[in-house]
Amino acid sequence: MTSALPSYTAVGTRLRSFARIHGLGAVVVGAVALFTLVPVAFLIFSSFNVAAPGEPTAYGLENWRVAFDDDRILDSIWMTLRLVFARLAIAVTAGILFAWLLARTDMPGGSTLEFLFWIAFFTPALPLTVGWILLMDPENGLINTLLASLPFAAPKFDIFSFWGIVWVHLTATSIPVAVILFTPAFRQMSATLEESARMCGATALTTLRRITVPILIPAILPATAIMFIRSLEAFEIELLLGSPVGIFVYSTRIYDLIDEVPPSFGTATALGTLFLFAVLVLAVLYALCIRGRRFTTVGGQGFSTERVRLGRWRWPAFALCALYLFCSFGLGLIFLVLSSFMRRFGFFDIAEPFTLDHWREMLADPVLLSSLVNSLVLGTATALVGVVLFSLIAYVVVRSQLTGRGFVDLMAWLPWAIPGVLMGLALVWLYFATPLRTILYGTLAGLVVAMVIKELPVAVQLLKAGFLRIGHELEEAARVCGAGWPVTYWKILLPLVSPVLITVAVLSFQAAVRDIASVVFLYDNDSRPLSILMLEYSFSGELERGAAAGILLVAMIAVMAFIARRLGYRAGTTS
Amino acid sequence: MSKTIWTGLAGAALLALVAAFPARADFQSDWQALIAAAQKEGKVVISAVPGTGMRKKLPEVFKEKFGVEVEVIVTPSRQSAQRAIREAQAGAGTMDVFSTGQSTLIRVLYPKGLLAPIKPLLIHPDIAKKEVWQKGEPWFIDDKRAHMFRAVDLVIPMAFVNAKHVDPKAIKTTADFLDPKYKGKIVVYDPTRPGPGSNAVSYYMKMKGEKFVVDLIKGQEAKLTRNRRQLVDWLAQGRYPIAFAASINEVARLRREGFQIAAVQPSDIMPYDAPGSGVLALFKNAPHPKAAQLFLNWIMTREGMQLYQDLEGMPVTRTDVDRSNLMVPETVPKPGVTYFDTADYKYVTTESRKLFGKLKGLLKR
Repeated sequence: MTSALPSYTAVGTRLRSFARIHGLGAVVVGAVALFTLVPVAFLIFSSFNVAAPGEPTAYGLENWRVAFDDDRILDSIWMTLRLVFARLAIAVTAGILFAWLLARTDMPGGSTLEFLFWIAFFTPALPLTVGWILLMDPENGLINTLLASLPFAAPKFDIFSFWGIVWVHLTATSIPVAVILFTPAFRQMSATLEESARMCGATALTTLRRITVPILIPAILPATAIMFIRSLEAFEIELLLGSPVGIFVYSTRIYDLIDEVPPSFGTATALGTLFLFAVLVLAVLYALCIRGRRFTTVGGQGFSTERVRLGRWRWPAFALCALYLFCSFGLGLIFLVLSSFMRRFGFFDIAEPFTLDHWREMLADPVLLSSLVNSLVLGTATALVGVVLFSLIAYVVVRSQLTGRGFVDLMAWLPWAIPGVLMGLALVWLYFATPLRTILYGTLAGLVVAMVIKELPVAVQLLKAGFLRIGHELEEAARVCGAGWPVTYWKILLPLVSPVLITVAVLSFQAAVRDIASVVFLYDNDSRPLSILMLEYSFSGELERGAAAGILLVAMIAVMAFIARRLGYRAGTTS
Repeated sequence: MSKTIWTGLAGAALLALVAAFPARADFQSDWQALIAAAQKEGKVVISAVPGTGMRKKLPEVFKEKFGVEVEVIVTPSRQSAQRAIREAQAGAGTMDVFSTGQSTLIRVLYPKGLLAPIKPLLIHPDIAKKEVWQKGEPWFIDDKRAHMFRAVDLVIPMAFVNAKHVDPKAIKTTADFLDPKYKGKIVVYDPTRPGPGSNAVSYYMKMKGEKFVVDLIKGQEAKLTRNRRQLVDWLAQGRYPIAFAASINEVARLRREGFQIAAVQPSDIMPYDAPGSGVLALFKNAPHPKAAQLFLNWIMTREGMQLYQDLEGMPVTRTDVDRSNLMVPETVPKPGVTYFDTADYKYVTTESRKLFGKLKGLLKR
């Protein structure tokens, strides 16, 4: 009798533990389902709703017929794919090279250069784009004017072209984002295998190609998928450089439909479902690529941080990174600062070309301070809520045996399929349909929910890759020592993925403070973020005042990134 | 005889005064009651389109005068309309007044019955003065002449030219734009998208025919852009010294910065006018109806219209305001001149849509 008691207690403890884990799992599944399936359901239903906005719902196939019965759609899809693959090929290759140099080699100034890659990513693309027009306009661009003055016939650059668009993307967004996404994975990898390869006589580049990159496939694939989807969605640079020469992309066509009077939301959502298809294909491809393979790079058998010695290539490698950063971050910052102090950006020959008026007017704007505070709260809350929620989802998908975790995995890809404006509309619909309306509509809380959903796919894929690289033996050792899963999760797993967590937090913060499309339906006067104020300035033609606000935004994100990096390093070092 | 006349006139004046006093007293009590009710509501929420100057000074002035806050939410017109539709469906409106262009109001919100009539709410005697209005009364552009108050009447010149590169006097008729010497020198705000480009080019197609438009855009290899800043930058640089559908505020800014930008209006085409984004409407079930009524009454007074004109940089439909600080005076309607009204209700609901459809087909890109 007395001997049976402990076993009953053990069974009870196990049952409670089971219930707790599965209860948590069920909550995670429910939350993910609510916030991913509802917008997707909205997208699909809207694509079949042929009634005009605000009219009683009527279903039919008209939106689909209109959407795809236009030869321009096929042209724009083809143009989009060409642009996406051209810049992905270059950005992924360059991103891997730069990330490897920063995280795995003894290149001088690696930490500073990495931070500058972050700032390059945060710098608004618009002033850089206008700056490149100043330099590479085929008629009067500065570089072309210089080339024309040479005694021999030099080639002409044309920024209003296919390769002009690719170039601006590479300098403004694509390569910095690749570096940001790849670097944590490179950093999280133990150098043991690389050391073995080198001992077998492999060169540094052979080791990178044959050992490092294949091991990091689960990190490189989702990061590439993230870049692929973001490239599909991009349209601002294309609008400025492409539309004057007749280059249109798929997202421009969706934007055009939303911009009709009245807006053709049904047709836009029918077109948007192609994103859904692309996302599902990516999800399946990713699952197939990693199935049945192990990618553990952090285990319980020692972790070597030995870096590859570049020898005489140290300084050329540094020069390569610095040159790229000058073209990207350096010029971007110069153009941004210059434009905020110029009466009219790019016009040096007018009377009094420089002025403080834009800064003065911006600082005198009565809503500036509240917008700044709102953006700070929005970004910080998105980053914090996101990190907790995203890591739990990724943990459930990668580590748990929960029934339906594959479904959660698939659902976590879905918000990517919805263009920002349609996501905003879907959330208005969702908020009004729930009793939470007063808490979510027009409030910062509602904006945080919107941004958490928007950032869910990026964050979960990055964190999944992070958890995949951690060996099971560390968790097992913790359990043997009597730690429950919350302690193991908090004390062992999260510190080990801290570089990824920091990346996720900063990316979420950055997205939250810069996003316009998802929040434009949801804010009110008290929750107006800085991004909406910038939209206001840019629509007023006040590029210069927008640049001044952009500098504030970059400074704010840079400070957050700096703090996050310090915290991340501390957590990483402690673990 | 003369004494009799003077006595009669004095008697009539006395009668008028006696008749006016109760009205004045009635207005004052109504006005004070309206202010008190508006103060109780605390604020009025105005949805305005990006580019508005309303946020700059208007909230400060209104608050100082009436103790009522003005919140200006700046959102692109189509998206504001969608927001209003969703809010109305949920019975949870958050916006009171909409300041925007005519298209979204006439084509989207008005047909759905989402706008309330403004005319019956106007009680301020300054609004009742017929002589101060361009049309003899406040200009309402909807078919019932009550819902959409046109605050702005903007004459749009056919083109703006950079006078350093193109002699504005050399363009006398519309055919002059087709001169081969201007090939590759013209920029147009993309007329295949809803907006100023399509409004302008649709009208030119109506007046001069499809061939003129095709010759102008395709034959002259006109550059189309969807960025209003890019369009005026090209005009200022002289890269494209002839610009169609340039933003008036951008042209004003160029002139302030010293660029020689001239308006061109050929003699063989009737000039047209438009309200820009200067149409005011009241949302049905506005959450702050009294504050909205107070705002609409005040904005239509001389003081309100003067401030609106100064902030938006466009001529208002009240004629007793000072227009001397407008940087593009060519946009002020001239007495006795007939303009084609592109915001006319019938034109917007029927012909302009057909013209735009045809235009998109002709210039398909």
